[in-house]
Amino acid sequence: MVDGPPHVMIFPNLFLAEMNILVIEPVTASQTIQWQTTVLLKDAPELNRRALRQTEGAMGPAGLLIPDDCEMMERNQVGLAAQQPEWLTLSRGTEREQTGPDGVVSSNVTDETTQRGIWREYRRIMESA
Amino acid sequence: MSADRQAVADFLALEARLADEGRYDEWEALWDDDGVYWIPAGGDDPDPDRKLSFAYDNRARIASRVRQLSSGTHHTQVPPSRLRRLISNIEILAEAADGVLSVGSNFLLTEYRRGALTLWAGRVLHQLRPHPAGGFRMAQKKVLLVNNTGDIPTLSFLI
Repeated sequence: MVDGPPHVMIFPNLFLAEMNILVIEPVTASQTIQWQTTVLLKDAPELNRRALRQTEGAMGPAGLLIPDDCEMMERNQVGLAAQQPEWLTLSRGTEREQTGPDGVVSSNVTDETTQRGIWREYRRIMESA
Repeated sequence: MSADRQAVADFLALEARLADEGRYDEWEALWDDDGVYWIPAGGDDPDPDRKLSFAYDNRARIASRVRQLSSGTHHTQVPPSRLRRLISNIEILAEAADGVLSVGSNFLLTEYRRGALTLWAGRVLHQLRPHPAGGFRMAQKKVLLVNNTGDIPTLSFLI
């Protein structure tokens, strides 16, 4: 929470974003449901009110943040459907990734390090099944 | 009831036209300083202190919404939605001692964007405060979508 944006992706589909819990449910290759809700705390009505208003402002269908993300994802799907090139590459930031003494791979916040990690783990699990 | 029905109908038509045409600053000027723009989710009357709404904007959030929508860089509005709505069944439901009118109306709205036509419908409850310069200012606009118990598409315009 102190070192950067308080966003945590927990493999395979749990996403904690500030005061929000999100669960990503793949439906088909072109359809995904993202369930999201606000974390409410016991006996903290004022904080809860602020958290609800923050979720509405950012995440809902009338929010000012996630709808823009969804719009870009929809356009990505349209682009992918063209299959030119055939593959989506997740190579952003490979040249500047660093592995720390604890084995944690890190890079710039906008790099696709986390996406590569998710798909490597997915492949490992699927191949060992 | 002393309220001027025609003045109310004129105000609702003006508000609808400014919203349809994305005239955000002029639409925002229709709000009073304590305005609340509420689009409930999960039913018509959830407790906003405990439940998420599609929007529950105080006056400051209305201003940020207008700023964002008029920025020209809001991806969901590039290209913008083309909108036209019909308002009907306008009723003055109550007049408070301070002159604030509770007004009910129904709407049917068609949105066209990127090849898709989307139908929106619902009831609107306005709290309209008479303004010294004539007309009204909105103290509350509560939009009861007919489908507010379900999921709704992206709502990146003024409804």
